[in-house]
Amino acid sequence: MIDDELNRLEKASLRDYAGDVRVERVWQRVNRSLHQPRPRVRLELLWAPAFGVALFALGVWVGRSGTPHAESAPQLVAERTTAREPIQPATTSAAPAGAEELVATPPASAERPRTPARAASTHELARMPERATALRDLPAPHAVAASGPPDWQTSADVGDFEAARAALLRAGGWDVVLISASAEQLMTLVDLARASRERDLAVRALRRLLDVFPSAPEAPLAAWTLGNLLEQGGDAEGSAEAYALYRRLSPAGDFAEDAAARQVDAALSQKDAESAALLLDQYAKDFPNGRRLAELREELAKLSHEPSAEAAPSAAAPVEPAPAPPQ
Amino acid sequence: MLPAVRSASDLPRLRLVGGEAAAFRRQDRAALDLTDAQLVALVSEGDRAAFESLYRRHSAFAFGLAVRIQGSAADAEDIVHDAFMRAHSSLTTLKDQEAFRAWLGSIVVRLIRTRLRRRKLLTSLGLQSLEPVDLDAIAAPTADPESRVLLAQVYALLQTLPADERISWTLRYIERHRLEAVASLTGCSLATAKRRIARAQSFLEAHFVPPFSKDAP
Repeated sequence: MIDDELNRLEKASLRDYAGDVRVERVWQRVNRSLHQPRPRVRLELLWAPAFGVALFALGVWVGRSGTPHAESAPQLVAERTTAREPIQPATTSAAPAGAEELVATPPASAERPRTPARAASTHELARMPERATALRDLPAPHAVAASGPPDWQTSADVGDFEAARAALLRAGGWDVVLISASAEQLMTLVDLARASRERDLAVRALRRLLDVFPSAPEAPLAAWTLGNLLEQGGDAEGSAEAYALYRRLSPAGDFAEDAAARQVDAALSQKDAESAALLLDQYAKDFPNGRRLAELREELAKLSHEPSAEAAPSAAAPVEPAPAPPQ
Repeated sequence: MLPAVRSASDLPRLRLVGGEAAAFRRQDRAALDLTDAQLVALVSEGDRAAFESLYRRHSAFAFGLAVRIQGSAADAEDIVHDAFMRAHSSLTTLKDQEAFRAWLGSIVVRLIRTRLRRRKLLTSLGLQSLEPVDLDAIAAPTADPESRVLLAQVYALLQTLPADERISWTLRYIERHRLEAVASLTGCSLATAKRRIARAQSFLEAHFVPPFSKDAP
């Protein structure tokens, strides 16, 4: 939906900064900066502030170690509890017209385990003008771990999968991480597993994501990826189920048409002409101009004209010797 | 079209000797329309005029990138200034000299990401108020009302997203970069870039209301 709108947005609708007065102004600054001698940092002058900082840190450490934690602990717990408190659905009295649709849109996430929500998002939304105010009470789109991402995720996010795998082992190994991983982290684990060609591990991570976080934003992509992996592994039935799941999770998604076509592919590969015909009808109904309609119809026609599975063995069966002619 | 050169030493005719010759060379370069690789090679040898040529060629791109990712022109001048200063100081680390534009873009994106994160932190601490979307900075003065409404809504939604997702999505759908380019500009793997875009897209799909549709408020 948003794709269509953005496709209609012409490049000329965006402001072009060529010849802008600010561009010239920045060049004057850059030029001045280039002509200025760069300040040289004298390392010996850094000793004094470094020593001061170290002394201060030592004082803080000594102070903390000598203070009982009994007073500070309850306060910390109370703050965390507040941050984890689920955001209540929007009340229509505060929202402008049209907010009902917006509020009703996000998928139900009742089963999804709550993780610390982005407190800032509601704060930010509270100050946003017009339409965005309707989003004020929506659940935060993504959970962010309070203590920051684990090392393996940080390494994987920058594409350093080798370091990520090492960090994963340090964190307790695949099984330990899999259980506690968020939806986003599970997708990272999938990437890691695929990078090292461990399809089974990737499939486990994807299945876990779909089981535990069925309403996560990552779920459609996970279903699609699972379908691909199972198809590569020769599990036509499993891949068909995954593609069907993708279509349920994201009926208008980027891969919806492909998923529909691949469901037909799976049925054809299993020589299940009846299911293939049903799925093909559905594909034609959902995507009247589908790119693979003609090709799949042809495949189905071929399958329908092949000798049936029951008839084939009799033809291939060993021929009984003809009875001897009567003497 | 000139053949690509590896260094300024491949261009003996264009070596600077200063004074009038330098001025002549500047005109010469402009007339010849040197490639980025050739200009980078000259800058590496201390040619500031070549750096100015690079600036003139790519500053609008950097400025647009800064404004459109942030959703406002606030600090865009600082970002572009800092990006070009960093580019100048670390030009020797650029391996593919022809890829100067993409490399500059990645510097701009890094600076913006730092700024967005800092701003988010300060906002959450109550030390800074949220910057409103500056539609005039994003949309062209000639843009039709539908486009302006569309951009206003998209940017209002983008503000609620984490910085990485917001940046990746903007690069893909507003700047229209290919996925590989988004990954390169944001300094992450292709898979990560895809995931960030997919998450942002999913959020926007869920909350976007087509302007002027019967569903629109």
